[in-house]
Amino acid sequence: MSLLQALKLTPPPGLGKPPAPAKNQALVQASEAWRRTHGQANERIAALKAAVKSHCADAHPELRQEIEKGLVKLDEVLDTVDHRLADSLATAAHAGDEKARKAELKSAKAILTEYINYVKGEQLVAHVDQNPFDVKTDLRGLLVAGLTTAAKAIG
Amino acid sequence: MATLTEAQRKWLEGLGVDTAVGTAPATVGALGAPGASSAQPSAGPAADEYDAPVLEKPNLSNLNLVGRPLDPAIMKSVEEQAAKEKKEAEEKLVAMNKTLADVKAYIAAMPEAQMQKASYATIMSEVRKRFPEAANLSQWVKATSRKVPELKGKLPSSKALMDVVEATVRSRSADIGWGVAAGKDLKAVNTDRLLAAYMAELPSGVSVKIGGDGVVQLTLEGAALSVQIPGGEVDAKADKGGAKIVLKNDDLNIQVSNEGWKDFDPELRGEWKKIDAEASIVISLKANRDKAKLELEQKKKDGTAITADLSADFDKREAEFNLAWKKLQEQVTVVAKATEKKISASVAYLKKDAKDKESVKAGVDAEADLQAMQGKLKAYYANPTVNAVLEVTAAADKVTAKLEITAAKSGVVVTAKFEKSLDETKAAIEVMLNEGKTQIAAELKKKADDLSAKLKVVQKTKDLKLAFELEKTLKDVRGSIAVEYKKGKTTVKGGGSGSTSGEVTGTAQIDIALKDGRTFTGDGDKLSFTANVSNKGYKFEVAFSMGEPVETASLQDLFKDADTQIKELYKLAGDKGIRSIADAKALNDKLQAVMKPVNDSAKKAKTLKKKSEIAASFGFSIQGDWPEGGKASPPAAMFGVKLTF
Repeated sequence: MSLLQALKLTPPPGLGKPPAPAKNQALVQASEAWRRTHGQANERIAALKAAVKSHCADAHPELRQEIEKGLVKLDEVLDTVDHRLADSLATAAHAGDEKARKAELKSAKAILTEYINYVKGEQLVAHVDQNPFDVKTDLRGLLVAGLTTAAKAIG
Repeated sequence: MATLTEAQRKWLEGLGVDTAVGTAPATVGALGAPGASSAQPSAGPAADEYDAPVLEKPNLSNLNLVGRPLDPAIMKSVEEQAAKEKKEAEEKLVAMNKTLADVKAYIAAMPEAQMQKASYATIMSEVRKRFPEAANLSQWVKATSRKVPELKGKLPSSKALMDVVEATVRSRSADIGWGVAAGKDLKAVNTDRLLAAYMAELPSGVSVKIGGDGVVQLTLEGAALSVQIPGGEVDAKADKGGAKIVLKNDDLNIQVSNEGWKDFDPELRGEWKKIDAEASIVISLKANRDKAKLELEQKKKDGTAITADLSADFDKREAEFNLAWKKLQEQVTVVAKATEKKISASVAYLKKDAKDKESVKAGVDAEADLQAMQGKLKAYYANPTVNAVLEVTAAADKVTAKLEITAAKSGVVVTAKFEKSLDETKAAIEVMLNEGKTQIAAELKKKADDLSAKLKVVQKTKDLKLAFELEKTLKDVRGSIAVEYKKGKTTVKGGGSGSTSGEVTGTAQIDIALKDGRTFTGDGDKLSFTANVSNKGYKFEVAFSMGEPVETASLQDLFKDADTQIKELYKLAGDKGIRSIADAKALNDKLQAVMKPVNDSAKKAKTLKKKSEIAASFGFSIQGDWPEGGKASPPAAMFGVKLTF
């Protein structure tokens, strides 16, 4: 972050080109949209965990403990596909000049790529969606939709 | 008595769970036991169809793509999703434009006498009823312009519905007549405009009224959300206060599950039944129209004077018939297309295994019936008449009915939940026996044993009628147990599958709060609201002065937030932590915290102060002065416990 940005000052003419307001607005919206997607994904995973626990509520205590441990692994999805993308998009939206924004968008693109690769290749995502506990998660669909929105905003 | 299916066991093992730990013979002990294969799966794929995915960490070494364009292969799924959304939006856009054209046609065809008596608000109210999809146009336009920005230029305005209504009314110069009738009462004219504008842009579930005192009141009512309440109660126990019976497994459903029939939609038959009923209405509307026409022609022939009422009556009947007939034709096209597609898929499924002769025969039969239906459809398309529609519905009913029976025959009867409930009921009867209620217990035991025997028949014959009778009998037996125990010292508690929308069965404070109801009130300077929430449903009302109307975008946000947070309130009934709160104040604090975003949203609502702002925001011209603003009191509270922000 530049000093001008830190002081929330507009750069003087000639020092840096201010970013286009419409683009900024799109980035803010994309940032919020990703936070919503993340929240929804979190709710779906929580619902699945609750369903599994409820189904096994009468099981032997040792098995219940084992299941609890296993379910913690589901958190890996949202620990990887986390809020970094939203943070990066918001930083890009509030960048003081075009150069700073472009630099931040580069980071956002890297995060996006990491997320897409994860969602596409990580078996854990498919595992969640294929659960036989009657909980329709469609986690992959949800995350792909969210990433599509982010990809459009990044350009 | 939870039982893990083979698929569930494999799935858990996929997460590294060692499912062999613990003995648990009475519950999940069925795992790997010889009897496990006979367990009825309640959900998910069958064991032999299920391959638990092997979990591998992705190779992240190649992900450092900073500065490089996104890999086209990786982006494929992203692009596919975007293309799907765009396609859906384009299809909806065509449908929305057509609806707007229908709205225009409806207003243009409105009989003169009816038009003279109407107002913008009454017309908009009728339009929202007749064309419910148009009622959500404003929200759809806003959402689509965000989701599919490339369609922005093609989308109608979010005020398109009001624009169409206003333009069509003006083209008939009806507004001039209304103005004359209203005389100098410009408040009435402006009230009418504002009412109609709100109706045009607010979601279809929101009703709008403006009182004589100039207070705008918006109301959203909804049903209580059904929430699964966590179990954990013992089945039956006795203590100093007497025996306790817990009947928590209230889901008695016996179902036929058929994975192979995913493509066949059992609701198709229902759709055709609806069309059949609609066709009967169209026939009756046509008869009414013809009668009026005959009367009119007869009078012309006789040289009798034709009154305006008679002429208007014919116009009205003609418009009603035309509209219903047009809608019916559209329904036939849509449902026929879906039917042809789904039945073709079902035929292919039935014929796929040549060795299964019974299935192949059913497939051949269905194909013949489908062809017969297609023949009737062709005749209908060549000469669209209501009678031709009835011929199509009869043919469609034949093929869908047969497929329903075939699907049930080849399905698997799932009785796990029923069995669980039956076991619980038998345990309760045992407690009754031990308590000395021998006569009633013996009667109920006989019924329960009879149910066990008949259940085996259902599993073998897939006789759904018998299954329904068994469900009813078990429900009756459980009801008898409850009645018997209400007489004595023993208490009967519900639990496991209770619902906040039904009887309150538990004793947690949250259940009591939802049963008694809670009123949440926000009393701002510009806008006030009252949310009345109970297990009978909810009513969210907003009030503000017409003098300083609230922007529709703010109201859309407010209603959306209210809907979300009220549902969150209902969800609290399913939260173990919340259920453990015994202190009423602590619970009320929690309830208020959940509703806080609604209050925040209400505080953020933007109002319009100047006449020019109001005209620009709603898109209509204002005659005379706009009324003065003022404070509107919160709408009525329905419950004794009020939580004020």
